[in-house]
Amino acid sequence: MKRRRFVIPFVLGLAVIGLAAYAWLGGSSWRVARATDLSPEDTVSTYLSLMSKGHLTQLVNLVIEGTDVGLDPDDRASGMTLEEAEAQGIAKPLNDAAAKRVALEILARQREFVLAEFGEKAWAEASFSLQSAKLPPFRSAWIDRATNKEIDEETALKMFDSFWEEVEATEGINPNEVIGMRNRVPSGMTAEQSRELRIKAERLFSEYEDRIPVINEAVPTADGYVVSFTFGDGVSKTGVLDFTAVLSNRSGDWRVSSFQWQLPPKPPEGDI
Amino acid sequence: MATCHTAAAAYPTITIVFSNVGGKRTDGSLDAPKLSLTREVTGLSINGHTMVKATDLQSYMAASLSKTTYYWRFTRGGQRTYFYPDDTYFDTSISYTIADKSTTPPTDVNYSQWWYGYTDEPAIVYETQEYVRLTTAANQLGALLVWYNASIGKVEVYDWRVNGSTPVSDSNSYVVGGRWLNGWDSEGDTHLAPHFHLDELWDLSSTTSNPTYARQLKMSVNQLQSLENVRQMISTHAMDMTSGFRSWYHNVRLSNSWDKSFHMRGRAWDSIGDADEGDGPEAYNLVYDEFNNTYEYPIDAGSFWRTRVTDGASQGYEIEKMPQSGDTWLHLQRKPGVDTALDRP
Repeated sequence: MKRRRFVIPFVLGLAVIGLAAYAWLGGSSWRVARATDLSPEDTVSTYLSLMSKGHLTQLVNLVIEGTDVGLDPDDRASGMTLEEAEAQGIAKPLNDAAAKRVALEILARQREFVLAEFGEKAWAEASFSLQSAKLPPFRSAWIDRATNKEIDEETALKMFDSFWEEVEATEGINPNEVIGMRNRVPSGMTAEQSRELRIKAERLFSEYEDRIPVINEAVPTADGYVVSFTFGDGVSKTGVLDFTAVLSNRSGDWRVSSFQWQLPPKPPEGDI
Repeated sequence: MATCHTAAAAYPTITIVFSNVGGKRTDGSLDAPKLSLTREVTGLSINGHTMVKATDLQSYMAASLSKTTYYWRFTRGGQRTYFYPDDTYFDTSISYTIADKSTTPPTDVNYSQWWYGYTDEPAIVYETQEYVRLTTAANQLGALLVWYNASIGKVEVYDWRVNGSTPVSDSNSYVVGGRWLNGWDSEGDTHLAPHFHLDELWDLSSTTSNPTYARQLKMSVNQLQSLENVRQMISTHAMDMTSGFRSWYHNVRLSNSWDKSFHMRGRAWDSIGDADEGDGPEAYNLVYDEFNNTYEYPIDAGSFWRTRVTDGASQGYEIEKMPQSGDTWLHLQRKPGVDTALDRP
């Protein structure tokens, strides 16, 4: 795991502000000056610098991944179960303008929250470290357990099917095929017999599962880091801790997202 | 497989936030927990239904995934859930063994629970990625709640194992179910253990306001075993349950209930012993005495008494301190199978 630690260089901060200002004032599109060339470290420094200055629109345009700004200190919630929202036809994302407006509002609250917890120089004098992390998006990869290496799907499926055919030779049924029948009752069988067969297939699958020669793993398709921030002397007024964000190049540029923190632990109270 | 079932249409996306259960919201809202240790992913919205990538469930809810030509198999906490490409049908199963202590010697009883259901949207492959309907999949994998936050236009999945990029590990096996399964309401007399039915342990609230999570169930197999153990300890061998699993909606509306209750984790139950005998404290006192061993008190663990023995008949680890408000009941939990500090505040 890679772990590095940086403090925002003053000169870099000025350069970044200049870049952002150029984008803001001079281009019809912010992508004129997008952060493509910024390193992971410079991207986080830019994030902190723009937060420090309160240049939140530039922050959203240049540094934030989509509208994933992270936790809202005000913790506002209004909604319903997803089942209910889907039934009412309202389970939809906000439109782009509304999403951006909400992101800016949350960013402003995050900025004030950190200042209130650590003092007025919190953002300007923050330091951070990066640790490699598996972040979305993921793809599904087949891994050969014997070699621990990725193999192509066609080869993996042949190995998978062959394995269960060998089990069938021993056990008399192929669990893979039985489960694949879904809820269809095989001809000549009652529903109860079909259920018994399925349960037997399940039992065999579990019994042999550890010996299946291939497994599926979720593999990230981009590079990523968890960013750990230190504000002030690291001790907040109310005990909040573990300030983090994530950094990913999944969109082509390095982008920061998902700023969050932990509340101080509390012992259980009441009926536990 | 990815190359065989490909959706042709272009679908809009929607953000899904995987979150741990952060307790009550500070704005006083009871409808969803506070977000904590989150990760955002991109899902699809198909006919108004939110679909999630199989790899995202795998990565953030700690489900193992086994893809074959015919099915996608998610395994978590011992429970296996199958989705079938291009099909709305899904099914789920778990096998476990409970020792019936009422026989001499105790008899192992094997259980194979198997349920099925239909989602409103088939499992599909879209741009080489497998997608399943979020509500069905997350709920059946054991999430506490799947919620739509209209104020930010994002879907939130609350689950105890979500922990940023690295899920919490948990070695417990859990029996999971709810109204997303076919005919769930009529499954109440299903035996989960030799002397306990499903309807004694699913969410018992009669006031739960949400239809999706009424009768929600998640209960660890270890807890089921301890039910049988304690039942055998009681003189009448009868136990009346007052609380098994609690949905978020139920728990958060109980007065004086912890907003991260072990009842919502599937790792606690409450019993008043044999209610007909009016001896509610008996079950509590028996386990308390077991926990004492040769000491005057069990280990004092804040709100809990923790056992001093490793081979007690109840196999319990902690009980809630009693009496409370003049009443005594037994709230028992087993030693956690969770190995991170998240499990303990």
